[in-house]
Amino acid sequence: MTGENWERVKEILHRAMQLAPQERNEFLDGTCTSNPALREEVESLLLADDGLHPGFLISPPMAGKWDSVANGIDNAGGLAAGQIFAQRFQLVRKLGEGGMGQVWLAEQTSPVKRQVALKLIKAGMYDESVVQRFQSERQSLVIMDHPAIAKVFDAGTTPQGQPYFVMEYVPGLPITEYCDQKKLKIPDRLELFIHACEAVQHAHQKAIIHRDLKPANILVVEVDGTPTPRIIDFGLAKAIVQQASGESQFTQMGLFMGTPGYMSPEQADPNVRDIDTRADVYSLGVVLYVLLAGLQPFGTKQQQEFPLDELLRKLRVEEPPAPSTKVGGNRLNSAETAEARSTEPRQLVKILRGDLDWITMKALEKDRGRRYGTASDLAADVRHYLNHEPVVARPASAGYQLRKYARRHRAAVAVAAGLVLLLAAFSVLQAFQLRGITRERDRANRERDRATRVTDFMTGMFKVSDPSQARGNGVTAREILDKASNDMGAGLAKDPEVQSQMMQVMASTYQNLGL
Amino acid sequence: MPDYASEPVTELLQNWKQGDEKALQDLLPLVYNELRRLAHYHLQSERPDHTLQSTALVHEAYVRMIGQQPVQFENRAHFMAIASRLMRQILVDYARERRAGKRDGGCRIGLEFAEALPVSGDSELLALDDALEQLSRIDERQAKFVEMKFFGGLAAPDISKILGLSRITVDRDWATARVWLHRQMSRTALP
Repeated sequence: MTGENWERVKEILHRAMQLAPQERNEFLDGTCTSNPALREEVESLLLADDGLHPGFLISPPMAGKWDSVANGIDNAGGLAAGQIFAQRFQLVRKLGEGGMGQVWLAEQTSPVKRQVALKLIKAGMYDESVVQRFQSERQSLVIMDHPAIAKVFDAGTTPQGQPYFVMEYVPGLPITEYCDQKKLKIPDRLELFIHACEAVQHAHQKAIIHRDLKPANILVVEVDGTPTPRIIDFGLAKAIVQQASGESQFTQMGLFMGTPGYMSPEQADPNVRDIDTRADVYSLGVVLYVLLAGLQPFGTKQQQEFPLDELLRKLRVEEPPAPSTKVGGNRLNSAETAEARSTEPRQLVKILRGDLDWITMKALEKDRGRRYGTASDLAADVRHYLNHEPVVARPASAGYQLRKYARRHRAAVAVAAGLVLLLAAFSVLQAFQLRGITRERDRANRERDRATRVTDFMTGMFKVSDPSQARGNGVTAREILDKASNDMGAGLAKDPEVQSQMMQVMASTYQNLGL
Repeated sequence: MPDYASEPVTELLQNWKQGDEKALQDLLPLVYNELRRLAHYHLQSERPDHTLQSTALVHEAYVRMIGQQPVQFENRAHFMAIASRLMRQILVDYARERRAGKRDGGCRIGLEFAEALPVSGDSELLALDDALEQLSRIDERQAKFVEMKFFGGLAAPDISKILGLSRITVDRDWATARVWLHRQMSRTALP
């Protein structure tokens, strides 16, 4: 096939593909009349289109196959189980391998016998300056002492200059995996999370920032049957990452790039050079988010849907959806997510909406000044939620405070509400009665006033007080009536009802008298 | 860690753009090595679900090599195009190697890729590589487009800008390329 032909085929094929199958024949009849070969080609391709997997060439080459690619690339390292490392560690098995190096489970033989996790920094990931800062950092790591922080026993360098850490071996699962596996409910997850926050706070008080908090670094072990979080790799990031003057952590190191989803916006920002404890608060926020909603704020079920620079951009600029929105907006996975939390999707959305949304979003504020100032503030607010107290993350409103109060003192509030209701009912009854009485009283008063007015009027009829009018002789009925008629307009103006009645009386009197 | 002075990379890109073929010769190994190193770095990570995909690797290589300095769109585009090409090469090379290893009975097969994902296995990848090669003989531009989109993870609008194509042409090229490649791959798979 020549290029020219292909252009023509493309054109016709593309148009045919947009038609319904039954319309295609007619279309091809019209376009390829004189060229049966062209038609055959297009039809063959249309057939291929029918059998096309919708994901063909859409999803990028899978990450999975990388395993063996990587093995092919580099088998250096040369460590094997059974080997003795640095004279006193017998390697048991490889626990994992990351960007920085390998982690081995090892048996320490002296000065004490114990199992340790041995973290070996890979050749190429360190140089002279790293070893130096590593030496200065190790002291601060060794002084950390908290049950929820895996201890750093020692740190050193091999005679060849390769740095290594000796850490407490934590045979646990990442916190998110543990919670899903045990189908822990939201309150239980929050309890674990609070413990993790407290551990982070401890390290912060010793002026150590983790810088790479993520579920894989917050493991859960069961101590006497009680799940307990244990944070690993504290401060390692700083110890290893060289921070030459004027360069940010981000450009220096691919260290966090494996899990950019947990990195704070300031860590993704090349212009920010002072990373402080609030970066950890952000990462804890992401962990909380995943514990609640099952996905990262910008994550989807299909891992790594976005290219890295897009993800970093989102991280710096975009406002993620609240956890409840994430669950509610994801019908496909919400059932699974809810099930891992021993609840129903709709119920889960209801639990998350409000307090937990606010708490999470406050921890995830892009501007670190608006986040919780410390990990313990975050923990305290989660505790508020669990205790049905108002959470700090919520903009204060009277109704909300009241709801929280009511939720906390259910019985007392119920009794009080009952009393108030009774009182209200009683008041209404009273008011009705009062209104009835008042109406009666007013009516009586009105009757009385009317009677008085009529009497006054009648009296006035016969009162001819003006001497000029008294002509010494008898007053005729007609004169009286005429005077009364005249007076009526003014005298009874206040009471139109009486006025009209009287007018009628007068009229009939005139008539009866035949006047 | 290896220190990439990003300046040479941008400079090389610049020179190459201005017609210096040698610049490309210098540039390719730099990018190639970085991609391989990144692949290694991520693939060995403890948690396979966190490993990055090839497209993400291309982007990461870009971020690491060019860094934060202001770069013209054309430079970025060229870098991506080169990296896509190299990514394809790396993947294909390893698929070949592994297949050779399998014949010796040496290589294990990762079960986790057994799920029926399109272009997941080595043979599919190699078939795709062949098909792409053939497509490039008929329509070089279209093959390049597929390479950038599939291996480099570039978005269609970006590619249309790099190749100077209209939106409609891009849509058409993409849709027809998929069909054509699919047919080509099933033809070669049959015998």
